[in-house]
Amino acid sequence: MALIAVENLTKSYKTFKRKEGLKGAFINLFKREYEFVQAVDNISFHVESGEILGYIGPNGAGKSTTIKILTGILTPTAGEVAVNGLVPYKRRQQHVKNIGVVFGQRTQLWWDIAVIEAFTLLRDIYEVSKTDFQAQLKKFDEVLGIGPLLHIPVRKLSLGQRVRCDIAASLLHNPPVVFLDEPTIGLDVAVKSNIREFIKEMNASLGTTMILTTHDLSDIEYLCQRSLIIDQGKIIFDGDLQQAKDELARQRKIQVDLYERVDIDSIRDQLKVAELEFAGQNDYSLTISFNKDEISAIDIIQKILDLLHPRDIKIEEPTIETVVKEIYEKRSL
Amino acid sequence: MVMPRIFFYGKIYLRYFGQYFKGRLAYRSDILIQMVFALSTQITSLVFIVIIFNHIPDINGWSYGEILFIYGFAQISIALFSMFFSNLIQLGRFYILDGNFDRVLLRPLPPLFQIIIERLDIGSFSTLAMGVGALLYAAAKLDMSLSAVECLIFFGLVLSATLIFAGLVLILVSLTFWIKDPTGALAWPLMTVREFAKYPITIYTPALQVFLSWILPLAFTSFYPATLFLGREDYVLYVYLTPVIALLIWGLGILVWNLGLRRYESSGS
Ligand SMILES: Nc1ncnc2c1ncn2[C@@H]1O[C@H](COP(=O)(O)OP(=O)(O)OP(=O)(O)O)[C@@H](O)[C@H]1O
Ligand SMILES: [Mg+2]
Repeated sequence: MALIAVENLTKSYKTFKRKEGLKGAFINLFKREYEFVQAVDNISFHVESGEILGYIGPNGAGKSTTIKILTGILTPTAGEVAVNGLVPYKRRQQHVKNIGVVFGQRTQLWWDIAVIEAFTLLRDIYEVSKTDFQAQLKKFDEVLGIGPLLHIPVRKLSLGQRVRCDIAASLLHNPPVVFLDEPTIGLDVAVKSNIREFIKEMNASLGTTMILTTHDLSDIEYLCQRSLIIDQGKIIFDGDLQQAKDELARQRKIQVDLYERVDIDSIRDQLKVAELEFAGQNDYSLTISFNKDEISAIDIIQKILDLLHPRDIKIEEPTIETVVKEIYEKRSL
Repeated sequence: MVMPRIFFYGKIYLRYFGQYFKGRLAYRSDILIQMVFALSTQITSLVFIVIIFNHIPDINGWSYGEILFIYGFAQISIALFSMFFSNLIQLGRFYILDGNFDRVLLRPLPPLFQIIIERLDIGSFSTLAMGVGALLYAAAKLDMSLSAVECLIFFGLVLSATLIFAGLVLILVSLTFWIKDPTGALAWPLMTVREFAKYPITIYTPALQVFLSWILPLAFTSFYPATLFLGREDYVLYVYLTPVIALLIWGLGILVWNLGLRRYESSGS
């Protein structure tokens, strides 16, 4: 059985429409009109033990809502979820012992006390033994460099420092399942790669199962074999994004820089590529778009070298961003 | 080895307690000023009450010493509520609206327990000191002497009175799960009405007496239990009812809380 199972999960929020102004506020008191926001709309997926699942989608797609249901914060409107055989919102207290949760946007630590105090409090709450606790602290210090932060009150930490402490805090009790909701938001390049490294290491050495939400697709490229894309509450992609990159983005581009202006129509005739145009303002550079199934880049370059004396040739590979954008766009058509 | 759960919760309670003090000590000068200020206000009001009551030797058959005793009892249960349960009032703003409730739900402890222990109000120590002062003064005035068993009963009744007050607050603040209330206004009526309960309720109209006994049973947090020590036979039944009412109110409070919990919808970000 899958470690995380989500079946026909639906969550709709009930919010009431606020009327504007003082008069509106008065009307609100007596007559409330409710609206339902369908944040998650009948989704199903499974995550196997040891997997790192990327969970992406545009703002407001329903990612955090899904995570909140899986972590037991929210009760679903319909459908079923099970994590490690437990239904999160029914067996919340038992469930949260087995999971670690990081919300990059908001700390899980107590605002007023020093990081180490918070950690020891968590140690007692999760009943972690003193030796295990020391070992964990040592490990987190090595990889996340939290040693110098331990005696600082949480409210005085910078964002990056705080997130590193939050990640450490969520893993103190060595949970087999970890949920990371935008753990790299607002972090500098060095801290970001540090955290990615750490996540990868945890997964490799302990087999920790993870669901990772992020808007930074390089996180996904680095960490996830499999990703889900959710949009307007529905799953629109489930698979390997690297593979999707190869399959979906058939359009590639070659940019040719020239010494002088050439006759574009004659080149088009000889190359037999329809999409050929000048790029840039100076007209000394051509962009050729082609479908890689119809013609190979090698053929195009060879023909170009026969015809012209280019100054430089660049091949543009589709990026994971373009692939994801393409998937989002296809959906909204 | 599995530690019995009660010890585990006791230990966690003490750990939070210790952390709270450490956190507060970061603002050491604030605490001192707060304490000095609160204590002086309390002393002023105590002096005020002593003076006023000294001029009114008898109200409605209640002597000055008896009134002060009831007043002190009420003050003690209010102070204990404020010290150990007042964080409940933060439910609407700090926990639900500001999103701290998510964090609470992610810990393997009952959420109600966490909210109660996350913050103490040590400022109320001065209210407690004043209540104890008033009570001791009244006891001396009345030539009261309590046996060991009576002392135990006294503490049991003070605990019940505190729990009744806390339970009423729990019921009212739990309504924030339905009525989004950022101000804690739901508990305000209680804070006002509790002023009435500091005096012998026989001085009020019958309607108000019924209200204070059976609608918002605040008379059970002061007047009824205190009469036991004043040698008034008429209210013995009410004295026995005090712990029963405490249990009933907590039962109801936990029921409302649990129903509300299911409606919790977190916040957008
Ligand atoms: N507590 C709430 N009450 C009402 N509506 C909510 C609540 N939380 C989220 N929503 C709405 O549900 C939808 C999904 O929100 P969610 O937070 O799950 O999106 P997300 O995918 O995490 O977005 P982002 O990338 O911006 O974090 C949005 O339309 C949002 O406005
Ligand atoms: Mg989100």
